[in-house]
Formats: sequence, structure tokens, C-alpha cells
Amino acid sequence: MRPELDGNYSSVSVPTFNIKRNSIKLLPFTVRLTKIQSLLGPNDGALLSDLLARQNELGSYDYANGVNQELTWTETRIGTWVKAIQPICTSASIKGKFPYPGSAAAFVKAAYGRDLSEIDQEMLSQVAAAGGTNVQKFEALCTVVLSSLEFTTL
Amino acid sequence: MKTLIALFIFVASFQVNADTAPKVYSEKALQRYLSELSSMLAGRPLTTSEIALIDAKKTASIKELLVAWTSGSYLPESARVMTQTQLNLSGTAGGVNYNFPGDLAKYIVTNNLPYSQILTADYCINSAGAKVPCDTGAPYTAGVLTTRAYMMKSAGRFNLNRADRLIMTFICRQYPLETGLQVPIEKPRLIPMFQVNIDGAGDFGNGTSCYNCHSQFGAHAQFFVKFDANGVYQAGASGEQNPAVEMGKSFNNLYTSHLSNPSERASETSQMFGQNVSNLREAAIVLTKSSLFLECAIRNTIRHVLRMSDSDAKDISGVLLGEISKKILVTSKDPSWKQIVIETFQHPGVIDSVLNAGGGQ
Repeated sequence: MRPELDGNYSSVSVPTFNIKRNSIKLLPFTVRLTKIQSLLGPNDGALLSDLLARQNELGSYDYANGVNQELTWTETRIGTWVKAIQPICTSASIKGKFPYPGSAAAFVKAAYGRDLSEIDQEMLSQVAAAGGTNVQKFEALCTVVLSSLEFTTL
Repeated sequence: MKTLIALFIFVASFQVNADTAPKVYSEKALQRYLSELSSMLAGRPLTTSEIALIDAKKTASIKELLVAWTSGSYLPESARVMTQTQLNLSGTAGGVNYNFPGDLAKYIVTNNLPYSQILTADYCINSAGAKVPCDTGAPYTAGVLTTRAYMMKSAGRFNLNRADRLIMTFICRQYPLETGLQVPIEKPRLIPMFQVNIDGAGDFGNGTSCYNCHSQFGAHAQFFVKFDANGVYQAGASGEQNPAVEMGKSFNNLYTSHLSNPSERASETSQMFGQNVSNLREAAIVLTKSSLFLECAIRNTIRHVLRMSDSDAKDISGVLLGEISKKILVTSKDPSWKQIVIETFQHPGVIDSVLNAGGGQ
């Protein structure tokens, strides 16, 4: 008989369930939006206007008007997302918060909510080695990170 | 003999200690697990200080972060999204406010009210977050149920869809239910087509027994007999079949009752889980007091936060839900969504399930 669970769950085997991750599933639109807001910090919302204007194309919903939530990451949706986040990646707000190159690692850490991996370090090195100004490099880094599967699906 | 007894006590106490020791997870596993939760509960990735907290406090950080996130500003929004996507209700159209259900969920969570109020609140909430009357015109209110949004989305013959949606969404069950839970209506009280059993179904319906499901469906559908297809309450509804239109439709845009007796079919009085009640509101109160309501709320919460498919969520075991439910009820007999979230995501069964989903510990 299993011992009674009394506050601390026991270390005997526990019932688990399957979480299938067979297909890529976006976070709900509002969550992706608040994740970006958390990176930006306080702002007047103008930087998010493109995202909001295109929210139905980006997987949001309006059930009363026949728009169902769509959480698949399609080529079209990726393209729309990349365009819609440009105001954010080119904004003085985010560049001021994460000045490049000194805060590049901090930006990635803040976006992903974890310590940097070797793959992240390699990405930062590739961006640093690429041609272009620091402004352009940050904008590229920002676009890549905010469009990544990790940012949009986790 | 004394030595044997001492040895037995030693072994037994060692076993008890081992069995009640909290499960230990690596920092990497904890970070992974909490990352899975932070977006849906806090609306953002883990912060640097949260990552440091996980490293410092290890497994104890789970509860600490859950408490912090559920006190934060995003949780009500998460509840709103959960309710909207669960019921497929949002927006406005044709003068009807389909945001009422989601806004009610957000209000309940913002104010840390019992989650049961999703079906028992005697008010609706407008877009400004203020209490307003709901919009069906009914003389009572039952949370999301007595909104035109719910009624219209679920409108259909015999009010079957309204009943089915209520049971599926809020107790995670489908008809037929256990007869010990939902006592079937006696055959003679039903209209003839629903008295049919497997031998006499013929080509009607799904070709198999009607009575098994409809004897229970009928009781719950009865609560909706006075709500027309536009979700408007009509006190004079008779529940009578309109002979000029298809089966299941009554007069004045209303739906037909399962019951044959004229006074019974016109009445909102019916039975929910063995209790005779006067109307939909009283039925909702009975439903929310069932253990199935809390277990279903836990299941729906897991499904929402971990973004599981409906079929995967359906497979979450009753044993796990029962354990979590038991833990919640120690603290509160009518828990808030905050309490549901905090207990649910501390359970090792949930943690292990996340860590086993294409990653591991």
C-alpha cells in the first residue's frame, strides 16, 4: 500500500501522463506579446501596434467573428511575425536596454529565461563576426532570437 | 526476539522515511520545468533572479515561484485565455458580448475568488472589469452558463449541445454517465423516441440505444428549456415540439424538452447528480460541489498551462487528479484558481510528465 501523502509528495513512483510534442505549437498570441513586453519594459505600446494589428494572422482568435486560434508555425506566419517585430528590434528602447555588443548575452538570456548554451554562444560569435554596424548586428540578433522556436513556443 | 523487533522497526522507519522524502530534481531539470510554466503563468521567460533562486533553493523553488507567479498580474489573463479557448467564446458580434465568459474568469482570478464561481457567479463582468447583469434576461445567473455567448454557441435541438458542453467542459465527462452519478429519467416520462433501446432504434439517430444517454441528457437539457436559440430567456417556454419544424425544435425559437408531460416539459426543475433542483443556477451549484468539478478543473489547468492536446489531456489519470485534488481540499473546500495552480504544478507526477516530454532529467 502506498504511504499516505502528507504534505511532501513521496518519492515512490507517481502517475504520469504523456505530453506529445509531435508538432510545433506556438504559444498563445497574448503570451508571445507579453513576453516581448517583458523584454521591452515599460513602453507606450506603439512598438507593439504592428503585432496587434496582425494578431489574427499571427494565430490569435476572435471566435465571435469566426477566427479560431491557430498555433501552427507556418512559413506565412513566420514571415508576418518577422515583419511585425521589426519596430521592436529597431527601437531605441530595446537597444538602450541591451546595448550591443556588451549586453548581447544578457539579451539572449532575458529572451530565453535561461543560461546561455554553447549553441547560443556560437550564434553570438557568428553575429559578431558578420559584416555590418553594431546597430545592424543587434537588429539581426533580435530578429533571430524573437523569431526562434524557443521564444515563440516555450 | 527484541533484536528482531528492533530490526523490524529500523527497516520500517527507513522505508517510511524514504517514502516520504520529497523528490529531488537537478537544477537543469528544475530550470527546464519552470521554463515550461513561466510563459503561461507569468507571461514571460524566467528572470535572472528566478534562475538564481532555482540554483539556490532547488526543489523548494518550485513552490516559491508558483506562489509568486500566481500573485502576479498575468495569471488573470491566463485564466481568461483558458476560458475563451476552452469554450471558443471571445469577441463581439451581432450586439452579443462573447467576452463575458473570459472576462468573468479574469475577474474571479484577479479577486482570488473560488473557481466554482465560473458557474455560480450571480453577475457578469464587462470589458472595464465592472460587475453588470448578464444578458440572457433570466431571473437568475449561473456564471458563464447564463450568457448569451454560451447559449448561442451551444444552441441546438433538444438543448443537447448545451448540456453536453456543460458536462464535457466542467466535469470532463461524456454521456452516458455512471447511473449512480446521474440517475436516469424513468422511461415513461420521456417522449417515445428517447425511450428506444438497442432493439428498437432502427435508423434513428446513431442506430443504437437512445435511452442510455438521453435518460441523462434529458435531465440536464431540461435546465435550458427556457433559453431560445439567441440565448434569450423566455419564461413562457413550453418545451413542446413544434410539429411544423424539425425534431427537437419548439415554438418561438426554443428547443423541445425530452419530457412528455406538459407541465414537466415546461418546467426548469430537473435533476443534477441525484438532486432535484429548480433551475440552471441551482444545478450549477450542485455540479461545482461534485469532486469531479475540481478534478476536471485540474485537468483543464494542466491542459492549458502545458498546452496539451485534448486527447492527451483526456489520458491524465484519475489517480493523479485525485491526489492533487485531495491536497487542494486540505487548504480549501472551495479553492481559487490560484490554489489549484499552486498545488497542481508541485505534484511530482506533473513535473515528471513535463521532464519526460522529449527531454528528461
